[in-house]
Amino acid sequence: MDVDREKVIRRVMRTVAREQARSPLPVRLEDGSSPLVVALPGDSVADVFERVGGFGGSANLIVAYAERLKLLSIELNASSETREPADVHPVASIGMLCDWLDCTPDGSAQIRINDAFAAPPVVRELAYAF
Amino acid sequence: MSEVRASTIAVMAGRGDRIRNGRRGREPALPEPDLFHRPEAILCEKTEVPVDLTKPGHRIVQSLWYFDFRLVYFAILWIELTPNGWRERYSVDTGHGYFHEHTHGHAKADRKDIKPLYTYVDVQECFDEGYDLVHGKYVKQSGG
Repeated sequence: MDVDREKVIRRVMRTVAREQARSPLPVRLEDGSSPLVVALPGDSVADVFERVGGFGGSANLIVAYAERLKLLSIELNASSETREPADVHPVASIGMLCDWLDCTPDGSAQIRINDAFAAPPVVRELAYAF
Repeated sequence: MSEVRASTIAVMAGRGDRIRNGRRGREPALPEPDLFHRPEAILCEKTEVPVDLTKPGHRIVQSLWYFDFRLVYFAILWIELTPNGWRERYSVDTGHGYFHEHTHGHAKADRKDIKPLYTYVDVQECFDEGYDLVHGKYVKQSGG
C-alpha cells in the first residue's frame, strides 16, 4: 500500500471540498461532475494521462507537492490549429511538465505523448486547507 | 418460630432539595432543538468530484451541496467497478438531519446514525470525519 499517496489523496479531497465553495474546479463534464486525478510530482506523464483517460479524457489534475498544490486542467485528444504541439517523453515526470508550463507565456501548452495530444490550458496554485 | 420481616427505610429529601425539585417540576420542559435539513436542491450549487484511488477500479465520489458558500449537505461514497457497473461499497451522508453511514452500499436497513445535525456548521464539521471514515474503510477492506 502506498501510504504517502493515500495521505495525499485525503489532504487533497479535504482541500477540494473547501475550495469548491469559492472557486469550482475548472473541468466540469456534461453530467455535472468534476473528475479529479491526484498525482505526485514524480509520477510519469504517461501514467497520469492514462488515469485521465479513465475519466473519458477530461479531468482536473492536482499535482501534490509537499507544501502546495498545482491544479491543471487536462483534455486529451484536443487539437489546436494555432499552437504547435510540444513533444513530451512518456517517462518525463509530471513535475517537470509543471516546471516547463511555468516558463510558457500563458502557462498553457499543447503537448504530444506517443502521438496523443493533450492540452493543459489552466494552471493554478493552491494551498492545502487547514 | 421466627418471623422475618422485610423493612424499607424511606429517606426523605431535605427541605431545600424538596423546594428545588418542586421548582424544577413546575418549569416547562425545554423544547428539543430542530434537526438541520438542507435547503431545496434547486437553491443549492451542487458538484460531484470523483477521484481515482491507488487500486484500479476503485473511486471515491464526493457529492457536495453549497448554499450561499456554505456546505449544507455532503455524501461521500466509495465505489468499485464490477462487471455490472459501479457498485457502492460504503458511504456516509448528512441527509435526514443526521450524519450517518451506509455500511452495505445502501442495502436495506444498513443505515447507522452517527450524530444529529442542528446547523450547517455541524455538517461542515462532520466533513473531515466522514471522509476519513470512507477512505479508512477503503484502505482496510481493499488493502489500499
